[in-house]
Order: sequence, then structure tokens, then C-alpha cells
Amino acid sequence: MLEIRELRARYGSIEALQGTSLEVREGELVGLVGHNGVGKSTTLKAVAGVLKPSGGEIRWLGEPLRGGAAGTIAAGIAYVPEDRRIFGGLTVEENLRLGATTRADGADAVEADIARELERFPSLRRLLTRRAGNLSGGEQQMLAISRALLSRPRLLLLDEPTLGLAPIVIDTLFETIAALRDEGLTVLLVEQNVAKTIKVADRAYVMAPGGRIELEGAAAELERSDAFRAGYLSLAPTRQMKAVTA
Amino acid sequence: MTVLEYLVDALSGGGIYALLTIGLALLFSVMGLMNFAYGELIMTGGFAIYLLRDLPWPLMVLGTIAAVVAIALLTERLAFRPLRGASPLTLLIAAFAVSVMLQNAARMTVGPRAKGVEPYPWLDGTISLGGVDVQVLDLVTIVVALALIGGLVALLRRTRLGVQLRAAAEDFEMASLLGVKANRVIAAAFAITGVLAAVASLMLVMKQGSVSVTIGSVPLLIAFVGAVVGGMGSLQGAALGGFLLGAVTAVLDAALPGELAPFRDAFVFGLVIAMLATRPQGLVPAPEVRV
Repeated sequence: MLEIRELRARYGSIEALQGTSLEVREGELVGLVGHNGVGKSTTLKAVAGVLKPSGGEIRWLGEPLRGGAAGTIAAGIAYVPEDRRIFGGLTVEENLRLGATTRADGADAVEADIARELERFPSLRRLLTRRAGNLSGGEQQMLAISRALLSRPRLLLLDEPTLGLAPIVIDTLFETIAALRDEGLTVLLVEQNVAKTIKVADRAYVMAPGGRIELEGAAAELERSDAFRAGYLSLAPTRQMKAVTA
Repeated sequence: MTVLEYLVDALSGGGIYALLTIGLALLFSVMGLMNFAYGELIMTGGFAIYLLRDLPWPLMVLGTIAAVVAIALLTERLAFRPLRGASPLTLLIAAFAVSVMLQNAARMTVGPRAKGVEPYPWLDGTISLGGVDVQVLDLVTIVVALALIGGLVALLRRTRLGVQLRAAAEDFEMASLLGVKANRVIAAAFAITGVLAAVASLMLVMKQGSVSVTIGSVPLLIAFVGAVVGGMGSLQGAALGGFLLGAVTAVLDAALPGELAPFRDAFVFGLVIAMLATRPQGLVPAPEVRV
């Protein structure tokens, strides 16, 4: 569905991505994990159209993805950026309705979707008329995800949705992300919380500096692999674990 | 002077200034453009009034608004759209260029000398309010400014376009990511600026009784200072900053004794400096998202 081939991107003289390749298939929840600053967010920014790649290709449904931010949303790809970027001066309801800007299927369908989002995140219901800037971090993240979903995307790009949130909120968000996949939505999730990501994802890519893909595979297999456990779960390899417990 | 007279002066002076600052702040918050060609929009309005002065007043008003909106949209299309995404400094220089071009185009066509515009007799009269004689023009200014600001607030709060404009003013890129059409929103912002500038020019020309190529210079400065006082990038702040600036100027105008009157602007800007020293972010800082 989404194919990224040999993607290159730079910030000034620094080449953040030096040939990243990955793929997201329809209906999958794909995790993109790795240490800070390796290029995970840069990859999402390039797909979302807010960062112009310096090389390589992003293909969507077999065609090159073009047209910057406007082209991305028109193609059915919704992006929830790292810092959420909800509109703080607007009400929660106005934020939600903006999510439906590209919709052409009528007001009733949008209302029904707003109602569904309020069921997904019941705490947003009593906040509808509140200024979004006054919401807590967790509430803002819920709003950002709901706003993205209101465009009825085919692919959801989530950049570090749990960053800086309380543990209980993080658990709820991961459950929600898994539920979205179960509803049939395709999700590309960038996360620092590797342990939780690998539990919910179908497949995962592990990124190393320069955007190089170091490991990839089915999440369950990665979780069992020694290289992955040692490098990214801050755990000793399986055999040593056994030795310690024995 | 009675309290009522001061109040009328403050409201009418503050009303015009508020319109001016909102126009400038709207473009600044939506696209980072400090539009120094705003003064020439007012000038365009002034010359449209001069050229249409013999028409019945409703037609003259509509014609003036149409002319200023057309010029505002034209500058957007020809000068600012090609620079979309450029740094605020580049936009600022472009705005200066547009300002100089429009001013000189007016000098070459309508003429460099000031033109007299006879105010409508019914605007010149006074009516008695609570035992005080009040100028009709002041009352009209207050009513029109309130109506325009009320209309703009309703547009920004109640309509789809308004919500998109506010979103774009806060975070243009994120608004684009949600599918808000940049060209449409920016053109709308320019059109709104045009309407505000046209109405401001009507008030100014009716008050001054003349129009010249530099008629917009002082209002531009006032709008700029008002927007800074209010807090750049916040529309409510701009309205408040402009209003206070206008109200204080009008009240000082009336209250300062004769020998101090020439120093009115020194008092006004002294207050601005004092205010900025204590609140450098302006009265109402641009909304920030709590993370």
C-alpha cells in the first residue's frame, strides 16, 4: 500500500535519511522504532508531505505520492505529528470538524463520525466546547488522533503518540491503536516505547542512525530475537535471561 | 467636556484604529506577512471615494469596498502568492515594494496633490444625546466599527471558512495537513483586510475632507503599533490594542491643555513604551498550546 524506497532527506548539511526503505501493507499496524534522532519522525514527515525528500521514492497504491501536505491528505493519508499540533485557540469541537475538511460525503456522515470518536474517547465529550489549548497532554493526543480519523483516512501516520504522557494514558492509547487496526485501518506507528509497540504491531522496522533499517520482521519474531532484545528492549538475550532466572 | 463626550471620542477613535489593526494582524497571523502595503489599500479606498464622490452614497461605499478588495486580491495573487512560504523578512521587503509601486501608480494616475472630498452634509451635523451635542460622523463610525467587528467575529466563530482561517492563523502547516486549502484561506484573509481598509478609508476621508497618496501612512503606523501592543498574531489582542491606542489618542486629544496638545503622540507612544516594557509579549499573546 505504502512503499518507501531508498528515501533520502536532509536538514541543511545533515542527511537525516540516507536511503530508507520500508513498506506498509493494507490492514497492517507497522511499528517503526529506534533510538532518538535516527530519522523515524523524518520518515513520517516525508510521507506526510511536510518535508521534501532529497531523493528516493514514496509510492502510494502503486503511484508516486505527490503534492506536499495537500496531496497527502487528498490521497487518504492522515498524519498525527509528534507534538500533536492541535489548534489551542479553537474549541475541541472545532478541532474535530477541521479534521473533516476534505470530506464530501455530507454533514450527517461527519456527525456520525464525530459521535463515534466521542465513544472512542468518552473524556472528549464533556470538553467539546472547551479551548483545546486547555486540555491535558493525554486529552490533546486523543483529540489529535480523533481529528485525524475524521478525514476517514486509509492510512494513519502516528508520530510518538505516547511521548510525555502518564503510564495509564499510554496503555489506553496503545489499546486504541490496536483497536483501530482491528477496525481495518492501516497504521504506521513511530514510537520510542519499543516494548509496547512490539506487543501491538503486526510488523516492525528497527531504524539505526541515518535512517538505515537495521532489523525488520513480524513483531512476534522480532520480540524473540536476541539482537532486538539486547539492543532495544534493554533486556539481556534470551539465554542469559534463562541463566539469571535459573 | 462631559464623560459622554469623552466616551464618544474614545469609541469612535478606538473603533477606526481597531479595524486597522485587525486587518494587519489577520494577515500577519495567517501568513507571517507584515503588510506594509496596507497603507496603500487605504489610499486606494481614498481615491475610489474621490472618483465615485458624485454617485449616491450606498453606491460610492460599495464601489470603494469593491476597489480595495480587488487591489488587495491582486497584490496577493501577483506579489505574495509567488512568495508563499518565504521568510517573514522576504515578505516584508515584498510588501514595501508593493507599497511603493501602488503609491507611485496613484501619483501617476490620480495625481500627486491632495484632493478635496466634500463630506456628506448629513454626516457633518450633530445630534443631541443626553444634553450633549455629538457629531453624526462619530456615531456612524462607532456603529459601523462595532458592526464590522461583530460581523468578523461571527464569521470567524460560526462559519467553516472562519474556523479554517483561525486554524491557519495558529498553525498554517497543520491546517494544510488537514486539507484546508491555503490559496482559499489566504485570499479570504486578503479580502477581509480589503473590506476593513476600505471602511477605514471611508471614515478617514469623511473626517479629513481630503485624500492624498500618503493618506495611509499614519494609519499604517497606528495599525502596526496597535498590533504590537495587542500581541502580534492574536486577533483579539490586535482588536484590543488598536482600540486602546485609538481611545487613548482621542481622549488625550480632547483632554490635553492647549500648550501640551502638540505633544499628544509623545504621550501616546510613551504609554506604549511603558506598556511594552512591562508586557513585551503584548496584551494578549498569541495562543500557545500546552504540551
